[in-house]
Amino acid sequence: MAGRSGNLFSSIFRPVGRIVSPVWTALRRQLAQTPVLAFQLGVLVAVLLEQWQGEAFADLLGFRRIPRFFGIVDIFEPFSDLDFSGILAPFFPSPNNISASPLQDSVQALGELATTFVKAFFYQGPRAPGFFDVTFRVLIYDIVVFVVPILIIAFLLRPLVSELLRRFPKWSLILVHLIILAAIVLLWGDDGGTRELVLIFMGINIILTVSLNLVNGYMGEFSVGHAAFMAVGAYVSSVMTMWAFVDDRVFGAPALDPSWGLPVGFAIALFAGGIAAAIAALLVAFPSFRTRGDYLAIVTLAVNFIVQSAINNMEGIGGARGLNGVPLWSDLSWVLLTTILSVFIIHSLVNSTFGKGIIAIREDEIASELMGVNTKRIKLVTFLVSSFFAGVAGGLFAHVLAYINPGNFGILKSTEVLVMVYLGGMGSISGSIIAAIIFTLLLEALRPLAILKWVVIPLILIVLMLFRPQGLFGFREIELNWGWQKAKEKPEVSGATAED
Amino acid sequence: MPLLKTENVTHFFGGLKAVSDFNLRIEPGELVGLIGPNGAGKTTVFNLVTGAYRATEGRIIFDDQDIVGLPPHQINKMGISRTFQTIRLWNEMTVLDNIKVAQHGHIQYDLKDIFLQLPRYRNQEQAIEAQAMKMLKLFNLADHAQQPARNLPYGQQRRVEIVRALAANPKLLLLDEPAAGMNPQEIEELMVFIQRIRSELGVTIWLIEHQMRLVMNICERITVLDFGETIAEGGPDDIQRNTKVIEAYLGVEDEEIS
Amino acid sequence: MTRQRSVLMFCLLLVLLASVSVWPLAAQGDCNFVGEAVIGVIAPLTGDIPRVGQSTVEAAEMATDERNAACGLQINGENYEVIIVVEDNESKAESSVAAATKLIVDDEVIAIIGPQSSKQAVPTGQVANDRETPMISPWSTNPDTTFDRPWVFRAAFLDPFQGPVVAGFAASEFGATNVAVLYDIASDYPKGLAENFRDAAEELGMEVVAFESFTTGDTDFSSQLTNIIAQSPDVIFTPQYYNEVPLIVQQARALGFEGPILGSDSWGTPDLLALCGDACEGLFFSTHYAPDIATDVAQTFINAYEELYGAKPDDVAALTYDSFQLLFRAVEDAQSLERAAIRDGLANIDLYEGVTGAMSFDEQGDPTKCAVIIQIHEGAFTYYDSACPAGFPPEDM
Repeated sequence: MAGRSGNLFSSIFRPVGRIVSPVWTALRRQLAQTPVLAFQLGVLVAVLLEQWQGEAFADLLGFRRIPRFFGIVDIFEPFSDLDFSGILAPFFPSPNNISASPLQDSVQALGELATTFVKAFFYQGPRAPGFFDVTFRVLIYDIVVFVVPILIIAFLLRPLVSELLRRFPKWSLILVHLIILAAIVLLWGDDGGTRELVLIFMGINIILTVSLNLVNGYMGEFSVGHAAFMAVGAYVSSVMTMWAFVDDRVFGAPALDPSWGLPVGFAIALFAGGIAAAIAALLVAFPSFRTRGDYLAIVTLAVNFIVQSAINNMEGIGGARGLNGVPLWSDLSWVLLTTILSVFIIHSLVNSTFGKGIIAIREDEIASELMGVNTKRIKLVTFLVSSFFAGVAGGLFAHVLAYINPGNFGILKSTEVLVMVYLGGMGSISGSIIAAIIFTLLLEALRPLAILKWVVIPLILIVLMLFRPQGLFGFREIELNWGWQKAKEKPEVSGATAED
Repeated sequence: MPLLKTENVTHFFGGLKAVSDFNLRIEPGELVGLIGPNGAGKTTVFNLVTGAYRATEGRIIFDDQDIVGLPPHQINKMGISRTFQTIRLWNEMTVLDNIKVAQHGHIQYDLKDIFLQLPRYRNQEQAIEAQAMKMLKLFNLADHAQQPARNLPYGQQRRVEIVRALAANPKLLLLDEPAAGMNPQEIEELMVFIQRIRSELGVTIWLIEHQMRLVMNICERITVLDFGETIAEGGPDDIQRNTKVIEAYLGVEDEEIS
Repeated sequence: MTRQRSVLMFCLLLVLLASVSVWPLAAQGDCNFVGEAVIGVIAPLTGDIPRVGQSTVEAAEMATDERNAACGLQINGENYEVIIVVEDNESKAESSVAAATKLIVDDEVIAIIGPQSSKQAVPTGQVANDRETPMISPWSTNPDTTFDRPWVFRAAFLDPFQGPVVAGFAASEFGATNVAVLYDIASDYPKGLAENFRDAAEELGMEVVAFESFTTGDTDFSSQLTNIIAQSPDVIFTPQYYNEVPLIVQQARALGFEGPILGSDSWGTPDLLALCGDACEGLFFSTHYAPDIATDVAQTFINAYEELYGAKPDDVAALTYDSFQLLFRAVEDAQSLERAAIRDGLANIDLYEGVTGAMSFDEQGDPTKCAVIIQIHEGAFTYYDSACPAGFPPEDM
């Protein structure tokens, strides 16, 4: 932590670091030796603890409710009143808002902004507790409810868990991990409100990001129209479920017995949406894979617009008005299951020798072809798999909004997915997952900042690109101590993060 | 029956004749050299045989089959594997993965087997990995298996590239200037290496090389190209005495001086 | 070393200061608020149409401030302060749904005002309806927003009403027999309106000689306009937004079209006047309200708004303001802050005299109200005529 001497940062943190550092090192060693399963159990206990006493404790700390998303949302709330509009507006007068002295007005607005900003840090009454106050209380809450219980449980259970990990076969352990993960997500997310919704969008974003990473990261092509395939999947699956299982205004009475809708009908519809997206991708792939380079970018960009226009002109499915009345079936468990399956399948693909051919194409396409890799086929398969999952994500997306509109699947949506891919790092599944989680959470956490959000998020991205141009985890995966494999050469890898 | 037979193979780049009427027979188990001054069309011949370029005229018969027009990966699968003049490893991938991916032509499983993790997939993956490790051990590269290919020193990368070419279990191995950039000591090791490949794996080898010492020492038969034309063919001793060859090389040296 | 220490001390001081400092509280007035009524506002502050978001927030703040100055909402003789929680939906449906869920579950709002665009209002209406929270979308015109959703209302009239109004105006004012339409096929509002207009015009015995479309983002309309002008229509109807209308009008004039060009409520932003200049002089469009209309309510609102924000309110602001007034009225009618009671209160409003005219809700939660025809006259929006549904407003008003 203490780096070059002389700079302000290290001068503040070196004394702190001197005390904290040995503790931190020891803690990290402990963390690294603790298998993931122990942490999972710790989190499970913490989540239960929050459900049991969280509200009471939040009340004790003076919160009106349990801090949202571990308090990330709450700490930004004090800044919700910042008003930037007055600074530049005087210089760009509109016909009915002309400022006599723009500079003076602007300076005044700047002053007001500064005051609001400074005030936002401090306590100003129960309705405006201020950043410091909220952060302090949020930290206490998180430490007491999450950090401490997780650490205690994880360390206590470590011997037991390690023993279990040694005894049972790997596949059963994977199952145990997944079950506990599902329990954590479902328990924590089942608040019937924002948590559930944000987790759902998180899952959808994970599928989108991981699947796009397959093409842009692993294969090294540049697809910019992921939302098009999402749209195809969304529309196909929605039309299927609406036509077959729902009494709606577009298709009339259900064609099949509505009781078949869940889970069979929805599963089939999602799958069909994915297949439809893959077929759409096939139409793109044939012309665009004949040449290499930026061509795919241009074609996919065009496809994004073509798909939107096509849907705009299909009156039977709502056209530009959108399709309303899609059943609200994408609940947390569906999204969780689909996300796990998608990640598992893509993970299996890129870790197979067959899938490593994808990376070989990125590294050197001509050499790959000469060394026996059927590059045309692999590129096609990769693109289809990627689009398939975009379609599945689209299907989930439609069934959580209950309404879809071609405008939802524009170039902006594609860009959002691209941002997540590059944030997480090319060719890294764990990076993509982390990026999707962070991005979704960031959108929610920075909600109080309103307009400022779209200043802060790009800034974060720029800073990240300056310091980590390869993304958070470019071309490598986070290594976790799963416990079933012998730790190889990297004993320092911690349980939660991989640092340089 | 020859392993490889080229019949009047001719190739044009636009209007330029890069290779003209190239005729060659390689018998199984031979170690054949292809030499010639820079720009003589040696690598073009390799590219034609491996399918990177499609011969404008002529036939290339490999294992009794005309391979002109087949996609490169299929030619590779049939048993022709090669290395490159400049190293073309998949740099970000580990050495082991490089060797594994080179066995792509032999993969039998399909997507369904991967997604469902069926036994067919698992068994083949194990076989591929075992084969790769065997190859690495055979050529003393097993220690580097988990390292990204780009981290290896130059000489090692050359060897990995040769092992990668061998991983596809070829009948014919094409080596494009394997000694390029090596010092005498390394060349010495390389010669042993190439001899070992032939003796232990029984692979037919055809190589392009500028290092005359290497060519003359290990090749049984040599073809000399100049401006796309075959100017000489024969054993090392014949070639060294051939006046056309000496002229061609001297001419090149003149060029280099001017 | 000393400098380092002083920096450290300063940081510590700052933290200490933070934990104890109390800034003076805002003056409370003498209303004796016993509680608060939290209302959620969902607006597109970022995204495609930030102007709409800004108008929404301005009108919302004005409505609440006015109300609180008059001691908030009176329920059973006690005063409740009105608090608004504004959420940005980035002009995205998923963000809007998340915002609505957050407002309903976390902020426990009594009702939601917004979102404005149908693209967000339709899915958000589903959330509000499922979670039994009253929602009023001031500006959404898609029938799906309120259809079969007892908890969802809107303040704007629907496209199926506006189309006939303009068609009727074209017939009565210009005696038009041949009409042409130019619209954006990729945007649901212009498209819906264009189709409504076409149907209404045909019903009135006019011939739609040209029905030309373009897609969002186009700036050159000359080929469509050439086609239109070749059919020599009496009027052209173009239900487009303020950024497209000036281009369309100028290009039509340049191509030699002399006749009137008609529009819809999407024209009603002051920016149109600035961008279009003289070219739009004398043109007509239908909308929700006229800034110079003579009702007291409207005048008071317009003056107050102009004083506060230095600009004339656009229709979004007026409709948002009306939505708030409707909600306040419903709360006080119901004498309750319960969501169900407020919903009933809204449904039972028999006649409300608002900025955008008199209105009441039909059984779908859509308003019955009059449209006005505005003329652009001497660089300003000027009231020209109004068109009401049959039998509205009631005679006894």
